[in-house]
Amino acid sequence: MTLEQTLVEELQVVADVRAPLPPAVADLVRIAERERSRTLRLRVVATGLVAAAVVAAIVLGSQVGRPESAPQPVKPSPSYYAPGVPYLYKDRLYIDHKPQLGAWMQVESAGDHTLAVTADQVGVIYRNGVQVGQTEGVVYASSLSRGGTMAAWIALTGKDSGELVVRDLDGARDLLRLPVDLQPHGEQGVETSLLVKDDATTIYEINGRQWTWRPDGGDPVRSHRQPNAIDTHPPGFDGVGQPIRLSPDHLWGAWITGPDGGPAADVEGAAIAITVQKPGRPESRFTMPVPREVEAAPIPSWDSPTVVLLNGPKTARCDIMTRTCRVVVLR
Amino acid sequence: MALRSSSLPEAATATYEEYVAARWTALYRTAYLLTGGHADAEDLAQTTLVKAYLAWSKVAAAASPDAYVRRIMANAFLSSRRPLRVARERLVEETPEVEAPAPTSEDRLVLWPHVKALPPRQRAVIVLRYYEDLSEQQIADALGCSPGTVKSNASDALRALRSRVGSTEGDPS
Repeated sequence: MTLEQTLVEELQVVADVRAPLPPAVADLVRIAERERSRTLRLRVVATGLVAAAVVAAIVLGSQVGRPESAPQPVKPSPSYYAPGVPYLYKDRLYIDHKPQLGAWMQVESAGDHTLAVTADQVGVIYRNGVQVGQTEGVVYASSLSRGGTMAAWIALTGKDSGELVVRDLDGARDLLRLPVDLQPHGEQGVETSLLVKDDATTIYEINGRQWTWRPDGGDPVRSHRQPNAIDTHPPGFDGVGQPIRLSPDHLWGAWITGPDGGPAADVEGAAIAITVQKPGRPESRFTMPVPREVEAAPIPSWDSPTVVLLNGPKTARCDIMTRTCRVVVLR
Repeated sequence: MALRSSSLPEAATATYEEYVAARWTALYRTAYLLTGGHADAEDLAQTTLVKAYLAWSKVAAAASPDAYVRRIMANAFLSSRRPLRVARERLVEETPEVEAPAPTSEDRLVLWPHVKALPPRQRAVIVLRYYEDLSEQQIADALGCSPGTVKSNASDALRALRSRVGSTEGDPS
């Protein structure tokens, strides 16, 4: 057999690998659009290079002796790769891997939008990585709808009073600004939670009392639905009893199981796994065994649209593209 | 799947979706041969599809969309002067209990380890010639060079392979 023949045969053997699931087209489009806008921005920057150099010189001069004002270094994603999805790392919010000023406590993204909350409880809304809005008052609870079209939050605006705001992000208008009572409830203070849906229906809870507001007009009505319970049991996962965490683009849900995909054994040290599935598509379900040294956690989190993390003293990083988990130590 | 924020007409987006679904596996496999690793292959295939989206009007209008996309992939591969995926994680000392690497069919291959060690352009020529079964002219189109350059790259690559195989395990021929 000639070298060329051997090459043909070996390349065929090597190429006979199992390809991972194709990426979500919506993700590809999102990345492409971001790349397109970045290219445009670069062109603008190039034409203004001289002016920018002058400004940079002035700014640098004013920064001398003020190390706190020095530009922050770009830090990596918690594991390694979060394409376009903002994330928190050590109280810092990263958008396109660039740290935002200040300390942050929460971020969620869906569709084109991101809703992030600073450590001093100010909500900031981004559209494709660009800030487009900010909340008023101290945010007690916030929610971004599954498709990223609606945001809602409860914010303290007076001593014991606040406001429930439901904002149509695509239409850039507030659908509801409803005064709410935020009287502290015993020693526990004020407890709030809420969930907004893409049709603007908002379920919220203040001090143990639940309400539902619908965008067809009228006042909120008492409800017995728990915003948090609904959030961790989204539709499309029939028969799954464990809390489910949706990916940032809401194309996958992940939950903790045993290695066989069934409920994890309720025994200390029992083997666990992460099972994922596309909403409403049980045939897409598969299970990734988690290394034994990772302790069970109640619910996984998502590092990117394709990477699930199981946080703990040792973190498991599970890649749904390669269908494997490994232990990582976050830097 | 409904796409939002798409700058392509709906029909074109649908065509793009169909292309991704139909060609993902093939693209991934070629990317795997070029990069030699699953993670890098995934990145390269995804980068190729993102670039294809940005140029979709040209891709769709091309006489051979596959050839156009192949050229995108080759350029993306050759222009990446650093590893496509930068590892930013540090493994713990203990070996995880899963993923114990089992012997694979790759372990028995004689030439593949040496193909992986070829310079990127020579490797691209080898993959396009002996896996994609392209002609010198087609490879030249994909790599944006002359057929003569393809010829010399192929010749250099084959000479290197013969030499390396001969020095380690004997010539397979």
